[in-house]
Amino acid sequence: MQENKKEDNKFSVETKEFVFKKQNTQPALKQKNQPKALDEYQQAAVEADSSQLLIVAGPGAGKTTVLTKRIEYLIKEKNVPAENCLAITFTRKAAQEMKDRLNTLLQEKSELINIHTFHSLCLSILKENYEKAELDKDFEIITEQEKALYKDGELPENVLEFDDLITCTLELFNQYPDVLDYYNQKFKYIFVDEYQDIDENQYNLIKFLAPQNQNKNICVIGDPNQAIYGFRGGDSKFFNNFSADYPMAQKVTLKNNYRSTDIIVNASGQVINENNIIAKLASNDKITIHTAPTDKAEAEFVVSTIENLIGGHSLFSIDSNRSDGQKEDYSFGDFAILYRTSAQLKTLKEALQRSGMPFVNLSDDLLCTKKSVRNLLKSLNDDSPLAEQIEKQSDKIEEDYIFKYLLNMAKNYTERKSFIHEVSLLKESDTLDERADRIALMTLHSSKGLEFNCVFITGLENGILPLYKAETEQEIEEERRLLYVGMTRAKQRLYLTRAIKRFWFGSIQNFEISPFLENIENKLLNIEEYHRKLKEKDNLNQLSLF
Amino acid sequence: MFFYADLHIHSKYSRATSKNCNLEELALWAQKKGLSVISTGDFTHPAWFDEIKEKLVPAGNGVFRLKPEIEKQVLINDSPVYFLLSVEISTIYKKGDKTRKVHHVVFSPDIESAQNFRQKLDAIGNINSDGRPILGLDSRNLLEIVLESGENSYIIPAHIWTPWFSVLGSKSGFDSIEECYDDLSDYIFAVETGLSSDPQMNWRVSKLDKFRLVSNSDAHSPSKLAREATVFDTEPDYFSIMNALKTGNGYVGTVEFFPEEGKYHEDGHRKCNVCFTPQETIKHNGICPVCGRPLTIGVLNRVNELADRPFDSAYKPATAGQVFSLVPLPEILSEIMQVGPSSKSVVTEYERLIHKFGSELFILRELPTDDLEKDSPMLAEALIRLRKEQVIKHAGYDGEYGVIKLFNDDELVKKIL
Repeated sequence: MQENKKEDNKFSVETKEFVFKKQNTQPALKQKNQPKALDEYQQAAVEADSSQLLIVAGPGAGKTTVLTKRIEYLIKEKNVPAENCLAITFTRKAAQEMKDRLNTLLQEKSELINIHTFHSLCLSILKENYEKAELDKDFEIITEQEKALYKDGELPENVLEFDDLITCTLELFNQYPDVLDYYNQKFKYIFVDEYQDIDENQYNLIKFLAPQNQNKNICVIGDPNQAIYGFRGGDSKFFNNFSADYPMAQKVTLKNNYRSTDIIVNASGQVINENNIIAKLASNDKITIHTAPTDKAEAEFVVSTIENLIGGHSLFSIDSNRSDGQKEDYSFGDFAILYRTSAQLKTLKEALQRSGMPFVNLSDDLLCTKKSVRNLLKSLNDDSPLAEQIEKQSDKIEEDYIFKYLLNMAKNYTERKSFIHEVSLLKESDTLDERADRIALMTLHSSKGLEFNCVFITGLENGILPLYKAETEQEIEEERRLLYVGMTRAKQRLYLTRAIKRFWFGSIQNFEISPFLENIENKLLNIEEYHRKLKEKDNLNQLSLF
Repeated sequence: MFFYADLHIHSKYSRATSKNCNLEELALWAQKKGLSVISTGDFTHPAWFDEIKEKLVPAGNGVFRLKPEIEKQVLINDSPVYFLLSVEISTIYKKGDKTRKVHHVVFSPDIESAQNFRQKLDAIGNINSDGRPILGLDSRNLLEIVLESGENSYIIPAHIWTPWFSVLGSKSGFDSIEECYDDLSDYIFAVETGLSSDPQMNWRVSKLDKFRLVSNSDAHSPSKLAREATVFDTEPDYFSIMNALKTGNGYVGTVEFFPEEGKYHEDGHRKCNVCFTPQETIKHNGICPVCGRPLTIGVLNRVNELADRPFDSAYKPATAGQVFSLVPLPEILSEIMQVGPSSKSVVTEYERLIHKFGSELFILRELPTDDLEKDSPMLAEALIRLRKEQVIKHAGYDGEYGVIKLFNDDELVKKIL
């Protein structure tokens, strides 16, 4: 068991993966919104007779519920052997959630189900066929970033790079039809999550496992409206071509959204011209579009709005009427501030820092992108215990909590290589103490799959969203979907903010308002212009910029 | 040794505090007020922590003093002023689907434990911008972190009745200390009454019987030190003070504001100019007759809610100490001289009295009025009345301080003529 855990850890580097510890209050809220019984669409998807099934699942539609319930249904009602099921997810976190849920539904039988990420699937196939794949018996996986952590000339031998896992497996299947046949027999029922985000290699792998001309059992689920990984090869055309690839396929759409209020569902739908989603929660809270004079004022707006929604966090803010102290049952973990690009980050961070409210920037960056961490790892040798060596270098790492995290972690490792490997997979957010509740600051991309009671999306300007880099229509449409993903993270309140003047790559820019907002009906919006007072105050700030 | 201690104050690094909340001014004012032990406040703040390490030296048993060369420059007499390390922490979090906001005073016996605690907080929150940091942390977990940071580190829940930010507060608190600190509640041995409640009010709540009461100024400027204080008869050091609060050995009692003077005593709306007694609030169903929104429920009302002893109960729990009610000397001078409490003439007269007779707490509580009679007959009369608690009270509400007077308006006119 212990061994398995470690093994699983080894192939867990997907940049898409995002380790965010749900606050202890959130699961309860989530459950409250989910009906116990399946709705008609969910029921249809779970019990669909067709052996080839395409499920379209919008935000908050109960995607994981449906996927796990279908697996349960097939095993319990249709006597499908659990060991013949293969479920593929994109991230280790999603795989874990599926394991947990299936364990609740099927108890020990769930252990037999093959639940994998694309990478872990390929790793286990290659391990089982290392000779044919022309690999050493004990070959190891190394990540791009891990390579940089070794001293010059001591790169371990027998290593396979992460991204080669899939290509090697494809190669193996090409050369050895008998190997492929074995897996075709083994994995009779295939389930693929987030199908809209698969890339060419992943598509080819699935094609091998579920040949299109045979009546293979395959069920894919996803939401083409949330395809946001085109920039690194993800392509929703595979999703859209599913019915052509598998002509017998049945298509079921999960139409209900149990996450967001009707106003958020409708407005976000209007952004991408999707009007087939039915909101299950009613609300009077319109979406706020706030125009601030500058990026600094935009950040201040976000901060003071959060302060107000929490009902003031100090007597000062109440006594000075900064907050009216009316009770709102929000705490810091209910808030997410989303941004398109790291160029927006500094101003937002500074405003939060000044406010004194606790926040965390949940960046996708790996811990070892920090030079100090890299240097520390490089300095390690095999002469004395790792923890001892690290302890002596407390001054090398600025953030005490990262240092302490590494120190504690090192106590469990005797081998330098495996310690370095594990650290290479860590994100800064992994080192956080889970006991605390914080405002989450993150990119729109990182927000995928998460939900928050209140969401702020900043920088709704033509040049930021869509980002100036997006030129083709395809690229611009992906930016539009990115906004859709961000908006649909919000359960209760959504704020879209922009600045008239923005300090941007060294100069002052005046971006137009994002064209993506054009299609939202006015009745769903509360459009705020900045007050004169703010304007004057901000002119003072401006001076310091020049 | 009989002495006064003020265990909850702030530095210039907290929000809305005076710029001269530095260690020198605090020590100087501690002497003027008659305090032997004051807290540093704000030790989690990096700049303040540096200042503490730079200017203070250990004086044994968990307390510190200003370096001798600094003491020589700033102090006005020989009575020593000891500092102990403390910081107020604000926690905002959800528990039972309700947002909770609780303030706590954290105490550390030495620099190392304090440093441990700072590091732990740095990992989970924002300690660099406010001397009183705000964390999204369950109070129970904060207490756990305090206990983990070193032996003899403690929490005393701050101003426990304040509506917005306290363990028993009406807006975002709990109904008992135990609900707040859960399985670690046994580590709480004292609670702070806050400006708006006095011990008599707390004694009506039997759930609080086991906690020793402390009173502190929560000062945001040095001149506000000692407006409330805790009184001990033991050694003026960290361990003796904590031991006194745990066991009662060496604990004497508290110096108190008249609770009516606190800014959350009665109910009301400051903006609507509505101030209600708890009975009036009930009559209006808790709704403001002016704006129609719920009234800010004050401490008196909240105490009534949790009390299981009658309004006029004379019961004193075993943990009870003596109670000394007072009005700050500048306010008395202000009333007599009929000018503002921070006006030049009050400040000059205050300094003169301190110079001539001794510390403010000594003047208010102990100076024989006969000695004052010639020098300042009105003040002598004021002190006679104060010590007999013959005062005129206008209660504070919804953030507005109350007013305590010692003379009727016509008396003042007459005497001056």
